[in-house]
Amino acid sequence: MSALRQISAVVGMNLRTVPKRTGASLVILIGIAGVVGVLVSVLAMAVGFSRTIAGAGSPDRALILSGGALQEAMSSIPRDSVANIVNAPGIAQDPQGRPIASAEALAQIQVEPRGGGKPINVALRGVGSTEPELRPEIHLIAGRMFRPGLHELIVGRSLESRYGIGLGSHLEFQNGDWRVVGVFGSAGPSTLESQILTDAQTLLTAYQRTWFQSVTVRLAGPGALDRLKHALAADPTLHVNAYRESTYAAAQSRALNTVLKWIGYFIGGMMAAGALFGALNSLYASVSARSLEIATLRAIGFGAGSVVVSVLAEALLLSVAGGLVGALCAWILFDGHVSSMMLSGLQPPIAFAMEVTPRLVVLGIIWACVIGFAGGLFPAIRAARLPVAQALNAVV
Amino acid sequence: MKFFRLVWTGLWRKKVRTIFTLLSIVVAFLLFGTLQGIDTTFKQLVDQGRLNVLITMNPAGLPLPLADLSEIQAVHGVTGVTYRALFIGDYQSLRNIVIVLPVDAENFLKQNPMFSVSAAARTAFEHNRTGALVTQSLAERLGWKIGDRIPIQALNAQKKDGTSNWTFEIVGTFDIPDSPVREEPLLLMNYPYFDTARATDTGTVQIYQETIADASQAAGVSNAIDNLFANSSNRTHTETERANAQGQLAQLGDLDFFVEAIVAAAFATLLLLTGSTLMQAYRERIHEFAVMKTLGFTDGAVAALVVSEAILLTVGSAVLGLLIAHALLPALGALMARVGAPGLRLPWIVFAIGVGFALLLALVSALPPAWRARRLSIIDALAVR
Repeated sequence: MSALRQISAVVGMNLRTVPKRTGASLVILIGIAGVVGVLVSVLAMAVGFSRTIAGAGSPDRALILSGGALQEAMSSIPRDSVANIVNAPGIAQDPQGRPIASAEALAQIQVEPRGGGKPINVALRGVGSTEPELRPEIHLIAGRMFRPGLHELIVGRSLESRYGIGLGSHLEFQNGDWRVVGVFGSAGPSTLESQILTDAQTLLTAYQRTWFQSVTVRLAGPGALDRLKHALAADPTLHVNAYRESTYAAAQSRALNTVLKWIGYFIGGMMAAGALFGALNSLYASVSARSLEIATLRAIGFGAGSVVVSVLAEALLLSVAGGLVGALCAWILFDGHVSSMMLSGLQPPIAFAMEVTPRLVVLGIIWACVIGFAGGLFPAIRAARLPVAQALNAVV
Repeated sequence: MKFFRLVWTGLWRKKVRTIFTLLSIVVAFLLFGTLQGIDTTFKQLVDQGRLNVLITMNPAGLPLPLADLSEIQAVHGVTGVTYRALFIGDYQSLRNIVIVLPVDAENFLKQNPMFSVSAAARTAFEHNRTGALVTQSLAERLGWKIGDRIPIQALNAQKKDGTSNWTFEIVGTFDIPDSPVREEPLLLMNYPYFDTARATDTGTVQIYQETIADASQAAGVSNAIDNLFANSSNRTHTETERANAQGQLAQLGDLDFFVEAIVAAAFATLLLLTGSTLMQAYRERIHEFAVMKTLGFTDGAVAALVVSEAILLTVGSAVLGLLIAHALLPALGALMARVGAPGLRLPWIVFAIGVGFALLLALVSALPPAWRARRLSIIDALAVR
């Protein structure tokens, strides 16, 4: 008999008896499902979160912050500096020859969700008049654009879907009654979708402020960022730094992303250790329950190798099934589940949808296979070393 | 106790299996202890929020004018008012975050008696304009001694001279016994030093803190304070210290939900594992139990033996796992304190709940084998072979 046929015969025989060992098999399957489910869920948060942060950043735009500021919320750019900034070289222009740039102001407002509940903090962003050219990915899905000078707002769609703040809502802040006249969405997930937009000048007037937080500009083309940086550094009246928006966004999410991944691997790793011990126990039990069968096979000429493979096959089959169950549970429960997290204490929480991507599922299955293999190896070796005569004697 | 040796020997019948089961229970309870420890630390912060202390802030987190102070002091029912600003800075690198609280030296410590400061340090702080009091844990970690002059690079507080470098002289340390806050990297500075040197928002504070005579009047006094400023450009929102802490915790996200989901997943798996291990051990020992019954052990004694073994295994492993969590949490907390988080501990209540869970786990998973051991008939069992 060829080795391959031997192996397939023993593996087939072994797998057919798996249902007889339901309890022990379930320990492996559910243990690994738990590991993979938790791992994939936590990593799905990291993926969704960083995609949402990154979605607000484009390589075609630059963000200009005051010198030393690490975040928009820490930055302040005086009103008088804005003209110098937006007239610098490297900034794209619209057909009328105006620079496509937006000096932006940020404020935090408290909003009562429609239908009650605790008030939530929301970021209010004042933007310039070239907003549509600057951020083409933003589009209105209901209502119309706000008009400068009036207390009018447009809200991101995640605020509408989560808190019911939509067309016709009235918000009270800074002694004013502000009307929501539009709802906007973004082409992909973006932090902007959990923000409220209004006209920057109107916002400054309401808050009696004389400074903006940042200036966002559309870059004229390749090499434009370097020209812009150079011009800004050369102007002695300005103390600002320009960053490519996509680079800035990636840097913003990196720290929290690392923390989330670390939590995922830490908890996943602990649970994996638990599942591994469970798998070892079950497979040792499975080998000892089958010792008569294995001894018989060895006595009639089956090789040690095929016995090893049969035990490993049982372990891997159960663990892959467990991994699939875990990933499926994570997908059903959490894919698209909207959660919110703070990027830093200085900004309101950012809403994001968790994403169970195929890559995460594959990662989960790989973890499952590693646990299954490690859990199956030693029991398999014991099965192969089983002294045939003794095993047959013990039972007869 | 005379059966302890019997239980012990039974437990170690299959060494490898017992060790693996023990390890997986240890891991599950290590996970439980760590996650619950973190969760309860945050809840503890809320519980320690006082009900006779109110916090007044701008609803949008904007600064409030210092000029509001005298009006708040005059509100009926308010017995003391203090205020503070806040900025975040770092010492030498972003790895050493320091939370700087500019306070009015005299009142702040009086209104917050949980800050334990020596009389000498308190006097030194009140009389030294650039003096600073820091948490004991921070001073130890960064090796600061009394008299040291230390520079803090502010992340969100520019000075009039265009830099963000704040220099302090350490005049003492303080501790907040029994509170996770004691591990936070806090630095108290004198408000006048802060306010005259800063470039923006001069003459403002971040929060007012009012002590009230009667905690049951909290809602009324809060309203009275907020009404004072209802028509000004700086409206206020006042709530008890506890409600304020609760609001901050809610901002962190669904911490509770994730902790519970993960612990539930780990425990469900564990129940299955110990259940199947115990059942398997029972099956292998049918013969042995029959012999014991023949020797005169009662049905109940045999069942009790099975249950005792299960309890010894799960509770023993659980205590081991919880002890590891107990040792691990402060280390984890010290790591997180660098970014400004409160200290982590494993409270005794979590320990007790963990042991309770272990007991429950033992009883549920030992029930089927114990039941069978009790009902086992000697004749049938011995007839098998």
